[in-house]
Amino acid sequence: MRVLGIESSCDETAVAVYDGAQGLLAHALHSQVALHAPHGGVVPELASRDHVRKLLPLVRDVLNEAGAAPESIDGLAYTAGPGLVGALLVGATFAQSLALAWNRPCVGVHHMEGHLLAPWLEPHAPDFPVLALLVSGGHTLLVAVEGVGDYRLLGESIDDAAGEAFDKVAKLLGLPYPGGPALAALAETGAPDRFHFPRPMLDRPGLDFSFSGLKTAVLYAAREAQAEAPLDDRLRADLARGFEEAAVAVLAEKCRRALAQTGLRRLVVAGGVGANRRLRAALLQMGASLGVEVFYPRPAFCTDNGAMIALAGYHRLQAGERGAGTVRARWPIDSLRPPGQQTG
Amino acid sequence: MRLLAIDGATEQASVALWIDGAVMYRERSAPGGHGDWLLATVHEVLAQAECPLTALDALAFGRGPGSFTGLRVVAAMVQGLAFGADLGVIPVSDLAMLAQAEAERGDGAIVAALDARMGEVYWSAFQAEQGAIRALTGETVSPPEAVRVPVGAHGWRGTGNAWLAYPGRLPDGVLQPGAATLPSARSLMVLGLAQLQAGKVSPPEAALPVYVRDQVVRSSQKTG
Repeated sequence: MRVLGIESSCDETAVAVYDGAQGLLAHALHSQVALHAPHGGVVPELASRDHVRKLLPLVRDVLNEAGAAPESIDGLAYTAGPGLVGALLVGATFAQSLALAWNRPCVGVHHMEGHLLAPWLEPHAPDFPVLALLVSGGHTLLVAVEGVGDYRLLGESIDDAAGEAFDKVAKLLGLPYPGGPALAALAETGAPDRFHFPRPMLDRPGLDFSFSGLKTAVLYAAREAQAEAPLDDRLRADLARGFEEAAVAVLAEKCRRALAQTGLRRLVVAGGVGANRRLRAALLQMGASLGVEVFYPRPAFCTDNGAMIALAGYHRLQAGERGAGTVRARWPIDSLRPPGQQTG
Repeated sequence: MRLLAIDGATEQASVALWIDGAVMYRERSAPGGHGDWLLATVHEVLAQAECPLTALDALAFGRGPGSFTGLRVVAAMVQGLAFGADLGVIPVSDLAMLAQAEAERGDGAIVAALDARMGEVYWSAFQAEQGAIRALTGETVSPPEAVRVPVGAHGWRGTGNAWLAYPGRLPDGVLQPGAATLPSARSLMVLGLAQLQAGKVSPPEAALPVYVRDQVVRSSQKTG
């Protein structure tokens, strides 16, 4: 079965063709970063306007690149949520209409299920069950995964998502939008021991996260340091490094606890923050010490992409799932059921 | 000729199918969320007419102005249908659709004005002659008081829902519509057929909204 996948939940328009027998045939992405940069964040109306301009040209490109004639596509998948409703509507409506024209089945996919399954786009993919850490600008989730669609939510952020904290700290350090990757790059040159920020939620049991207080601690430290000297590059790099050390330590420790609690022996990491170098290193080191194998998708499949939607859609279409109609801003991942058992 | 017309620019969504003079028409009024209904209705009318999508000559659609989300849903739908069935598209102004419906009541000058929310209206002026319309102005978004009909506002007829939304605020001298009117796929079909006959058909990528209101980000200095 060959699936065309469409992602438009936020600020990336992405399309891919996944084939059950041959794997990923082609994928392409249009990023809206430059469009939103002057506003310091994603402007939903601008995002929607861009999706409707860019989606069809991307679909043409991807079909061409895949060498896939329309008749060879067996089904379509689109991101149905969670995300920006206006942005989701563009991809959902286009996919459903194209499916009608092609007389092919179409299914709405959960964006975070897409992220969760991204490691299975790689040649060296894990067997189930796994522990999944999903870290992005919108979500921070720890999920026990028995199989596709069989998810138990173990912990999540009670305030800011990890990626959101990266972006906000970057902003207060004066870094250009989107700040997360810029912050990580700046942290590389910072001293690891000049600032020791709190590790939120490590002083108590449980697997939930909180990053809002950490962000505030950086803000106060920056103000205090600025009272004595200007916020120069050295200081900003040290603050960035201190923040990153704390955020990574929290994410790694919660993973360690979740592995201990569940007895799972495989960890998959996905979502935009999953591309963070220091987080990857910390989790690999932790995994090695515990005898747990750690799996990452390539960085391009950590951030939003069409391949993960095509793959998730493939599993659901293969099981005969259809529809899932209306798009939704919120959609808890643990409300999903295994393919074929989803009731919408 | 076979033409399918789709509009979802306002709280009224509609679909019209023209097959060599035979017309099927569906309409509904609901606040927002026309996507599911429109797609199901397209499916239904084509099935009932036993006309596969690929047997159409083109798809005409309301490209705006109107509800941003409504325009995008229709544009994305028309892109998907047209690309999938290898059809051309015909974008039609929703203000022209209003004017076309009014033109069928008689010749003269027409102001089409739709509520644009935020204290403004989308508007344009037209001349109707023997059932056909010609635009006299471009399309504008402005406060209702700023609507200007070209020279000597005599015998102008208004059409649209702007008069209902902003009572007493549009220019005197324009005959107010008896009731609020909204763009309909019937007029869209008429305008679309004229373009189809003239060979004015575009590739699916041309199925894009024309918002008219392009200032959508408030400057960070402003409040409210």
